Amino acid sequence: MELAADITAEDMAVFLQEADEQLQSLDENIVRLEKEKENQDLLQEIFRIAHTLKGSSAMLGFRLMTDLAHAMESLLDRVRKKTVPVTTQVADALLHSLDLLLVLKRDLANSTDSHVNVAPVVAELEAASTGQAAPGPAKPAAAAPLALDLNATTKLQLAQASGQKVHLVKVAFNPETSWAAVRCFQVLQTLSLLGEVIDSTPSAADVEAEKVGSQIQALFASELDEETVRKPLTAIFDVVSLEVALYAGDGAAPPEAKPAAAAPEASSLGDAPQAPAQVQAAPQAQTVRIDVERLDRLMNTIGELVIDRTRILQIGKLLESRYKEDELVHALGETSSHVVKVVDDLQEEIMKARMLPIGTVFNGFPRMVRDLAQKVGKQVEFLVSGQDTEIDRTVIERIRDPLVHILRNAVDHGIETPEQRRAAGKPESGTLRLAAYQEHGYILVTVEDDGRGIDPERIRQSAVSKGVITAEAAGRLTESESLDIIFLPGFSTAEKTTEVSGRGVGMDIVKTNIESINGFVQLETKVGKGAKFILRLPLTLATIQSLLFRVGPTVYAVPLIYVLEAVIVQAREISTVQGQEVIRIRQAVAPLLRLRSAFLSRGKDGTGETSVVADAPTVQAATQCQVVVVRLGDRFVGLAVDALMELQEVMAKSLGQYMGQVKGIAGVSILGDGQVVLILDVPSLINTFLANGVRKAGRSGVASA
Amino acid sequence: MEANAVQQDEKQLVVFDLGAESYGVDISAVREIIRMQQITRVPRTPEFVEGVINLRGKVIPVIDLRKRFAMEVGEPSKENRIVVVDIGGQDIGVVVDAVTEVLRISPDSVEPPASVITTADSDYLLGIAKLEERLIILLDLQKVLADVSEVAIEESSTAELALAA
Repeated sequence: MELAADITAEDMAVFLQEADEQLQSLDENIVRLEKEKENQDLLQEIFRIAHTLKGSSAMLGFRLMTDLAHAMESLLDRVRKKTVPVTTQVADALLHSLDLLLVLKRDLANSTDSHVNVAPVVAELEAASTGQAAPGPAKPAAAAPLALDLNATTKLQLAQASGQKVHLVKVAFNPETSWAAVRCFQVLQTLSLLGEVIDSTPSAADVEAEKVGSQIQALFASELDEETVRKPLTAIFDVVSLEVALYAGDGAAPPEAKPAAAAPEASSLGDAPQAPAQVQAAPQAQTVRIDVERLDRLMNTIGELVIDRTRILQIGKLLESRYKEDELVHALGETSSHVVKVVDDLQEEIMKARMLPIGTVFNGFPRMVRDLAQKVGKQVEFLVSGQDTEIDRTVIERIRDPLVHILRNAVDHGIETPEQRRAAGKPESGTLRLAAYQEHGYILVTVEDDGRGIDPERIRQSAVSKGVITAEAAGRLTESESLDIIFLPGFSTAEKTTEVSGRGVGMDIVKTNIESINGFVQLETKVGKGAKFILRLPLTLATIQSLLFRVGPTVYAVPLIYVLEAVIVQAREISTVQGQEVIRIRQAVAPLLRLRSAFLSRGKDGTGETSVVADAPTVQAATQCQVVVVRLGDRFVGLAVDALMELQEVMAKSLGQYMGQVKGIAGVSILGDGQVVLILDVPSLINTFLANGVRKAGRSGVASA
Repeated sequence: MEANAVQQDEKQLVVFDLGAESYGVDISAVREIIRMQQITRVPRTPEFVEGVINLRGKVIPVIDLRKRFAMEVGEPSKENRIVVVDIGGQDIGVVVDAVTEVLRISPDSVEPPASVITTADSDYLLGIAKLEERLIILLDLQKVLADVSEVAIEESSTAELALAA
């Protein structure tokens, strides 16, 4: 900051203290002036403050503040001389100036450089003093400061309290660009994928309304460091300067907690900002912001309660059968059944508290699709449905990226250009549908386009030419297996990498993301007709609806989302293909994985497990076996288990850091009777196992990458 | 060094049997001693990891010290106990043959580990307490169990390879 060189710390302290009082007084007086338009004393007082500020800031060499105060003074002088009446426009201009002064003072106090542009507000003041309409309300927000409203201040404090880094991101675009709104949107979009945008100038609403200048500022909270935040932003077109700096304004002192009227979106001049902060804040008290972690802890605690609940119920029943006549036992029984009900209600409430409408993710998409379509010269009609479908917020956070990627792919590669579509006898405008709905305790999200579809043959060829698989292996793949290749790491069918989709996030990431939340991705496509991605997601991550079964002495839980069916398979129905046991499931040949041998035999020679291993052949020789058929995408795998048990909601716990990651096991849970169950990690199980299967089926089949 | 530390002042030990030997661990690391209970095996973990148990709603891992020290597997007995110890903030259960007593030892009775040969690797020993008629091996459980995770990773990746082959 360019300040006069001979300023001492004391001078600065005195200035800041005075400025504090003066700004406070301005705040009260300007609002009063609007009501008491003829009050000369009041006007005189406001004029005096502006004049003093001008003088003292000039002494400090704080040009921005001087310029601003000077413009205020000029306006006030004309009002004082009655050449300009006190109008809403005048009051607005003065209040906007005040907001800016507060920011300037804060920057000064924090010794941070002010990047506030005072020109628009100065222009506003000048316009008010000539009685003209303020210059272009279309661009008021472009350089206005980040005056945080209450909501944003709360967000800021929360983010800082949770140890996140808050960066002030400033991006300036080539002023020539006719895409400023799009660029601003891209900045906000990029940031929101990395963390949380606390506030921005212009605001998201202004960006949406294309009320933007050639720059944007955003307060952005995330775990990331400056470099990581900076990088994806540099990829945006038309960026001429980019600044990412830790935000110094401290959350504890919220002088910037202005009434919502000072928020960027309220900068349309029509709003008379008379309402004091308290009045505006009142309706917000209806909701409380809660850290998701706290909700998680609450959920876990209730999970413990749920387990004890079942136990209490069991003990109560035992007691009742043992002491039938005892009144105390009856009383206990009644109380415990009440406790059971309360615990169930609690669980339901807390689950609901974690739910958000999926629309919170969908909202940004129409704009994204529109911009993208324009950019690549496609016509796309984007239809969204099911925004109200509620889903756990942890799930919501994890599906944004995959959906962005699938949608981008659909617009960029799926839907053809208008000419191509016309030639193919299709309407010029392609249709892209995004839908969410609930089905049997899951949430299905589908992305469907009527574009060119995905050609398994092309995928095969591309995979071979990229060395992902060998030609020989490719020849053996079925159509659906070929389509699966797009989910392999490092594969993309795009012939040239475009700016749009060539961002290094492949379908493999989509798949991994979705699987990490116990969901899965399916692809249906017809060449020339279109493609449909189906994401099957759990409603919540807190509990997992599971099928329990037994292998040896151990109880396992397999998340129901993966279970296709449970069948008894006769020994004669099991055949062997190249050393791999297989069974027929719905016209498909599915490998059979015997969990007993996969899990119970030790990696080494099985020392100490001899008894268990010894009876494994007995099971294999049995005339029939119980099979749980699981699916992952469109692959089926039969899991041979010892016995089926029941369906149950389980609360997943981790195995703890001591045990670390165990392949095939996602976690553990405790049943009502205290028994520990192991939760199967179906993707890891199938991937490990099927990789084996492929290797067994053809040694040279898969090129070692 | 560590032997010296023991000699500073009187220590309380939880003493347990493992095969023919008596071992002692500092009582401050011991959270509780519980009877044997059903242990859920976790597939594809090293041999000495017995599995996990439900300790009042918490799932904690349990390891078998005999297997850890490659001793012969003992007959299950009513005397078997799980000693739950706090290792760096995580509770871990350790299966022993029997817990015999809680003992105060005077610093004078402790000698450095090198003087006696024991089953356990001498790296894991803090010293040997010589009492009137017997020896008690002072075990550094922190070290034994901290090392386990390294061994566990090695062994389970070996297991994976074996399975993938």
